[in-house]
Amino acid sequence: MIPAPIFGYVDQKAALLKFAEQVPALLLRHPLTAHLSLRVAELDFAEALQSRFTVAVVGQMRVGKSTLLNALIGRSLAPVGVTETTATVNWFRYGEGAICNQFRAHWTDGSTEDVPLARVGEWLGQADNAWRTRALDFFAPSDFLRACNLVDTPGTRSTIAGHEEAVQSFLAEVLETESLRHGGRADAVVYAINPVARRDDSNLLRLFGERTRLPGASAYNSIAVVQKWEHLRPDPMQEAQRMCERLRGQLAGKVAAVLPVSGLVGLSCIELPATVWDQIAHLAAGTPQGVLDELMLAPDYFRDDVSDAVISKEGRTELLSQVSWPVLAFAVWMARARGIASGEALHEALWDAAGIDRLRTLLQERFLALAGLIRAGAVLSKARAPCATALLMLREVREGQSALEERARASHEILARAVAKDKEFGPVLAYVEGSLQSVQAEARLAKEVEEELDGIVHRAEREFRLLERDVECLRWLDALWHEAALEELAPEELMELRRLFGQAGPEIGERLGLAASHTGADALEAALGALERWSRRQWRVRGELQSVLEHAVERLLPIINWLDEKP
Amino acid sequence: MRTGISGQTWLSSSSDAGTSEVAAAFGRLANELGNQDAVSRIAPLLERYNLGLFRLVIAGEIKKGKSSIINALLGELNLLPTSNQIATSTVFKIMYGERKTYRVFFLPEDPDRPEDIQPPLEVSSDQVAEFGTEDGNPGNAKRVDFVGVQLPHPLLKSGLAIIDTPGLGGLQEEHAEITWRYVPKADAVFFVLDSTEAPISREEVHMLKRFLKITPFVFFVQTKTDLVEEGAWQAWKERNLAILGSAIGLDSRKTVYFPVSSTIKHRADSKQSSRDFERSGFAALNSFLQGQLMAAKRRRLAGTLLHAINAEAAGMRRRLNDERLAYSAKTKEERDVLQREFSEAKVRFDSWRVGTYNRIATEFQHALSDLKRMKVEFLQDELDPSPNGALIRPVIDRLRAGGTKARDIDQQAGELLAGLIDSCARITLDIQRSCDEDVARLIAETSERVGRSIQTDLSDTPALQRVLAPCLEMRSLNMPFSLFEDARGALFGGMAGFAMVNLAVSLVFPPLSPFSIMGVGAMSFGTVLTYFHMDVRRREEALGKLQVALSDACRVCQRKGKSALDEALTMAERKAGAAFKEAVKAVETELTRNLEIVAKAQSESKQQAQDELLRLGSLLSRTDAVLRAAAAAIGSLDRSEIVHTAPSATLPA
Repeated sequence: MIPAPIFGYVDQKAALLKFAEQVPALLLRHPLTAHLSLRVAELDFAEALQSRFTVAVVGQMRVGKSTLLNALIGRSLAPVGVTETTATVNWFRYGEGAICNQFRAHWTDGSTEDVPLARVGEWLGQADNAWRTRALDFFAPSDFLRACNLVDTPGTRSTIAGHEEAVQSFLAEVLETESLRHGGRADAVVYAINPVARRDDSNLLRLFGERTRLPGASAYNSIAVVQKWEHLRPDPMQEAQRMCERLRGQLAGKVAAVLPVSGLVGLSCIELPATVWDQIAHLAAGTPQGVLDELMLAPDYFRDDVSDAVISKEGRTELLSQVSWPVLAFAVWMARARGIASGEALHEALWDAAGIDRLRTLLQERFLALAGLIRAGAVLSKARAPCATALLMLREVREGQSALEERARASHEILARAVAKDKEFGPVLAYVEGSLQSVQAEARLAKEVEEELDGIVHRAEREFRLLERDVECLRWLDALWHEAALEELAPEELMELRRLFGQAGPEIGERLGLAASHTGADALEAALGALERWSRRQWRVRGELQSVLEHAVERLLPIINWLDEKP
Repeated sequence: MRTGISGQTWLSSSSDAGTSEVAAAFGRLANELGNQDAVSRIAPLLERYNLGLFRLVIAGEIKKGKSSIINALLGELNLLPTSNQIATSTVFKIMYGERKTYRVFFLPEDPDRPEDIQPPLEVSSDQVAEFGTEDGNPGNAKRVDFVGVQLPHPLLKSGLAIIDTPGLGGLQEEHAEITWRYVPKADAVFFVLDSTEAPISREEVHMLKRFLKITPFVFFVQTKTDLVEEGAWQAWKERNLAILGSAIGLDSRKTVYFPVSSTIKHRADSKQSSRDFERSGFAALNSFLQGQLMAAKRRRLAGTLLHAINAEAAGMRRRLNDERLAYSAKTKEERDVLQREFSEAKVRFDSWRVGTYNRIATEFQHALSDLKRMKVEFLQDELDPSPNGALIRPVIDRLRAGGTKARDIDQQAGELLAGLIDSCARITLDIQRSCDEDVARLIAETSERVGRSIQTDLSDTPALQRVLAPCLEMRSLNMPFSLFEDARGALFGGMAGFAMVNLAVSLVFPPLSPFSIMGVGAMSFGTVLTYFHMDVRRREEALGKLQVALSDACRVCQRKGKSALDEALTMAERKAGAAFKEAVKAVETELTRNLEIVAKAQSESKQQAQDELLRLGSLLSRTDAVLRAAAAAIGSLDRSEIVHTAPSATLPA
């Protein structure tokens, strides 16, 4: 186990919040800088960190995007059908109250219309309305939606005219606009795929990368999510993992991560009553192997009249009306494979297998966190001006005060001698003493504020400078990769640099490309090796690449220091 | 080996209404008459009828369950490799064999030297994956052409040959050329969809349109119906039929579409359960395949055979009749009259032959050689390898206009090359088709001219009439059909097709395209750098390299296409000429023979004449019996419409 991360986003976020909290208060302490306090306070750091991002879900038709989205939200809101359903670009935002029973249609002519949810069917599949709609807005009081807006898109490869175009124009226009509006920084894209990647998947990712290689998405904020693996046998979870493994190779450089998820299972876990899982567990545990095999052959076999099944034919028919077949089959497999006999344990196992929490965490802790920090970095740079002004003023004050202090002291000395000769100068001396103290206090205050402010600003800048430089280098490497201009870097070296700059994640292990099984000593060794290599290389290249390699060295030094300190 | 479950009957030859018996009776008769020519003319048709291969191609996108269907159809769980991970990457050809074997056939190293190849390698079922899947043989590094599978299965024994193709649409591009290699020769194509991934996609529609341009015998199978609720797969079936209707114009009432589950079929086999068999959907599919498709082909082959037998037997009857006529003339005077008639007929025929007929025949030859020249030139023009030609220019322009990066050009090169070869194959196929049509039409026209000329010029000679009309009916010659089957085979014979040790397997499906990407593509593009430089100059470099590669490939295609077409048409010329000559010679022979018979009859005694009459009489009645049997067999062959998919289909030979 590599020791805990201090290079994660948590610390940077904390540093930023501390800045946001302390600096305005600090500035208020000195009358001269008090007015600057407001300017800093106005920059809403918290908002930058907490504001909502946009996560778009794209992929082939019927790969389960809408279901996945519902699972992330926690309720069935995005319409799901049997054949190609989603026909428009649908936004899902946080909302409370009556607004959740409607949706807003944005027509292509610019007007909007509020429509009751019940009528959503008029916008699905091949409906005419879809043609004239730019986007639809839905609302739900979901915690996940507090963190980000979700966007559902029509699937690609559909024969329905307009669906493919809708996705393309979404990628090109909408995402770009949204990104620019939020200061032009990255949001996340979840690309949902089938267990076997098609040429189209790779094409779409490439296209997507090319088109929006501007402030917007890039390889480091796209995730591939593999769905519809529940029916694979003998072990669906293992098969799903294996597929992800293959896809990581095939989609390398195009997505930051590949993970198996089942929106279908997840949503079922959220929505179905506990009795369903109880029954399934009961069925799996109590029915003899051969009979169960027979039942699980297909849905119509499940409803057969057999003896030895611990749930009657009517009971099973009822069960099948509540839970969809792929979920039922998977749940039965799970119960049998893991020897689960209780509904609760089954529910837990299924929820875990669905991977929804993992996806949420990945999105929030990595992508959205990074996106937030990038935005915050932009805000921070706006705070530089007032802070710099404040520091200048304080220094001036201090210098001015120290000059005064000089003269006051000199005066004090003279007066002290004078008082010794003539007691009448006593009050004058007291006055000068008082003034001297006042000046000294003034200087002290200014000095304190200046030093503290300097300290905070310096620390915040240092934290963010590294991060910003990371992102810049990633972008530059991305551009190189797309342009196929990598004469001086081998592909493995490119991957190594990308990892070092945080593409696979901010933790030390992720930056160094090490697995969880490696120790701190392994990490130190790897880091030292990398340091040696890059520092030597640095002097043999020129231009932008040289400064990128400089940053690599810069990144490695604190990591090495930190690893060295820990035993 | 499983023979399948109860209720499943394999095709039996008795459904062909006694064709074999008729053929046997005819053979005996011909042998007795010493007519070896007739026997040798009928022999190839009889062989095709007996072998009666029905070529079934399974096509569709990756991971839809194609290999599983075949395993299920034949009741062999692990015949072809299937798994969640691996994907079939080469063609598998499955035919009947005494023993279950797998043989790997290889491509030659150099496409210009087709004889120079590694011999076929027999492997065990465990080793098959090392040659036939993407995992075991990535990028077809082992240069596998196809894997031949033999299995002792009654369905295969009754004539079914199955081709399993690699899926289209995966991350590997090369699998697309199978479309051109195997679909044109297929007797039926099963296009496979599934019930879990998605309804028909744009790409599949595109693919289907291409298939349907080549053959109307495309039918649909939707797999994995065990993995979803019936409502769901039914809805997908409806949706797919709707898309087929709107995007391709297929009438859903006439579209043949089978929802199946391979898993349940295997279960049906192991449990010998007819309920499972029904539920698996394979009952309907089987019945269609054997009961309609294969039976239809069998009937077609039987029909061709029976018609040929009919024509031969009719000829035999006529000759016997003439003989009997000669012998039944009682007086010398009558025989003299006969003799005069026959001599006159011969004279008239000779003068007609060297006059009118000769003219017609010469014109026919000229027309045919004109056609050949035209078609070959046309092919040459169409497969234009020049950089500004219609094949290459648009590709380069598009890349340039789109500002495609050098690296992407490199990446797409394989795809573009395959696309070009694709186009070449398609153009060649179209030209081949039009050749078929034109030559067939020319032959038909000429036959008609000859026939009319006979009517007008020779109608006053009854003896001639009797002899001539059947002989010169070109349609009864088996030339148009077998010639072009042969020609197709030669034109697209391909590398692996000919220098084979085990000819049977490879000739079952002679690969259509000699333009194998492995050969052409690899040699032209092999040394390109992996990474290109960034700016416009570099893009131009990349485009330049690409254009050279495309030109080279095109030139190869052009050269091969031209020479193959030329060869095929030359052979057509020769065969057509020979056929006409033969027909004329046959008439001459008959006329001469008639004279000889009369002379012989003159010289024999009364008693000999009597015996001869009796012998002839009995032979005649046997001939009549054969004719009746043939007519009955032909009549009982069901003449119902052969099932196909597009409304305006032309039937294959």
